[in-house]
Amino acid sequence: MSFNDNIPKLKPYKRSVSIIGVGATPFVRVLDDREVYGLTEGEFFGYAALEAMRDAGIDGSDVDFFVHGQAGPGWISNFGTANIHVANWLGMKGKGSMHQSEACATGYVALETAVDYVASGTYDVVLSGCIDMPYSIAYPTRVLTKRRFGTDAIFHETLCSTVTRDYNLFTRGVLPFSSESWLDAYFKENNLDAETIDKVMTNMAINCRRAAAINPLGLFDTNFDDLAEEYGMDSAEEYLHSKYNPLIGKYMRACHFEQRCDGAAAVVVCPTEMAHKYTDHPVEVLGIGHSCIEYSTPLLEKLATANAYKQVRELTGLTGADMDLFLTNDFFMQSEMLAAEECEYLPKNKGWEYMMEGRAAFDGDRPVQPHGGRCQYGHGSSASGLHDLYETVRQMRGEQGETQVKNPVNYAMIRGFGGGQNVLCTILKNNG
Amino acid sequence: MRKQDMERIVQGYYDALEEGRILGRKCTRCGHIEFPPYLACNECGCLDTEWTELNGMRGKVTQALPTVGAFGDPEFRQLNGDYLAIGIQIPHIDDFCSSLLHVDTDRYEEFCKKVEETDVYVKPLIIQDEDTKVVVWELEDEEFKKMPDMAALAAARKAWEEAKAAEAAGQVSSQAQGDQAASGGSAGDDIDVATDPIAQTVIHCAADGYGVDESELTMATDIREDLSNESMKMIVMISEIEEELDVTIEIQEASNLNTLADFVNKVKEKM
Repeated sequence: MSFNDNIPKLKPYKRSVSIIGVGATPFVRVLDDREVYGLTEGEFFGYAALEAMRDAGIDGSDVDFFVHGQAGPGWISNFGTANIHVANWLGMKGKGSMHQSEACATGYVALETAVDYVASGTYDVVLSGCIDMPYSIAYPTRVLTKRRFGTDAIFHETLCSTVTRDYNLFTRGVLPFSSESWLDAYFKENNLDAETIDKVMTNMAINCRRAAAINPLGLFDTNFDDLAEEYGMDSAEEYLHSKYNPLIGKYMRACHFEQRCDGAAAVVVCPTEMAHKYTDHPVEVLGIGHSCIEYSTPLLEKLATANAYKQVRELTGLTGADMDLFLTNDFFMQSEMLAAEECEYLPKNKGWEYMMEGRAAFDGDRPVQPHGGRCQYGHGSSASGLHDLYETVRQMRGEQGETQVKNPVNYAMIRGFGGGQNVLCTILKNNG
Repeated sequence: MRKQDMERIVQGYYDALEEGRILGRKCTRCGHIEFPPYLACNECGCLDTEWTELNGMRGKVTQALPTVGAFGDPEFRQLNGDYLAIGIQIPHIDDFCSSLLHVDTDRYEEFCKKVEETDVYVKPLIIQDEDTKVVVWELEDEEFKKMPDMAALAAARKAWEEAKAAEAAGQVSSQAQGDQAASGGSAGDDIDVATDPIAQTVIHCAADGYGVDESELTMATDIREDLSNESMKMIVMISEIEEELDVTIEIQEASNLNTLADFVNKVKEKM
């Protein structure tokens, strides 16, 4: 008996819900980029939301309610009631809205919350969006075009705020555990030697960056071969083992950690029975498992992933092996391998081989993170989860151009992770 | 609910630590122990728990991880010595992670092997952490134990307490606290780059890390405002400094430094 045995079974939705529109801004660094310098939270949220509405063939008059997500509006924007700060940008003045804030899991909770509003029968058309600007943060009282760098010191304080402070102090023991304990246990379980571990970690980074560099919404447009050439080196491998990519933990190098940036994304959902009225390519939300375990628990990411996956597997009767695509929050890059294996998308104890051989790359046979993930595509905190959803929906439609995966995507799984600490496991079905 | 029915659980825990007692809450239904103490039982959901004393508990180490790089706490290390992050298993208590002190971190790999192959036990240790007492852990056996230089730790503690007291009295510059973010950092007027080899090396490392020409850099250069806010570049710079000068500036420390003069001063402080 343990607390994990108390995780409830999910019950079917009262009515089925489908995604009819998605929108996303590029991931950018506002303070470093003249093209977007001066953009504010309301504009980012607005651009993503308007794109999602246009994608669904609707406008503000059709939406009944909107959900606003921001990882920590107090950290970045000094917002209270953060939904109100964007409410006038959407053509929805006077309509109901709410804010939710679950750190980096916010973008995954964004879909869950919108789906629940529709599944309950309360509303028919709900928009859910997320905006974050952790790289270019606002001043507490100045207008929002005036911004300052979200420095590492500020970021560290925000991380501390996700840890319970009644008993735990952040870095005393919990941070190394939340970042590398699962990876450490995995490598030991599979008896991998140092050379193999290095190859797995290196190839994961190379393949993710290869995808991110050609994704028009990604933060970077150079891959590691380009960077190697720029620094006078012969290969991406050489660059990734050079002083420009130092170790920052036991296994992780700098390239295996998230790249903070600014951006937004949004989704529109409605009852499945109404979806074809708006679009010929709806995506049905079959279920969302959800488990939260705070930082002091060793291997919390693994435990919570197992819990959330079990919930959604039992609800839907589908396993990871039934999926055609897998996305996950991977602010520690190894999560893409570990979560994909925990959710049975990759075979047990074989995930590292898939990563090493490039089979999990966007052009492999079991694609994971076809946009490149948090460490290469970018991490806009709350917006990341809905960027994963945007990528998934467009992959299902076959709209992702150069990074379109090889095989049709009929089913996909998104494993969300973040906050202190929140894991969601979502299964989507392509009804297009 | 009346005020007198709301016992202060967290305060009670810390008050007991001041007396040298470690408390948890035991479920009155299933016997599971909540450590640290919470109101209800997370094992069976029972709403009734009662205080139980845990000073004699021993934990089995399930995993150990280093606390260097991005994932350690330099200030904690400075005040308490090197430490590892460990997972701990104790019967009737949910597994948790914490800090292992007084351990020979130079033998980390050997220690991990031992943890994998046999049962390694730890016992609780109450220490003063900043302004409160907390529970950390130390090894039962001597094999991997290594006591830090207690005189050096005492000196570091004294300096820390003095800095905090001065900070509270508003008498200290932010530089002395290692927190230059508030002040914008030192302009380095007292550093003569032409005759200071450490300043020359720091400029060289910064130029390499940020991909700029050395001639563009002065002691007043702010690494974020004048160069780049990309963390990766700062990490490269401090790696270079470590290689060139054999001085480690940890990532979290560097995050609180702004100008190149700040980095020069930090290197000199650590030399």
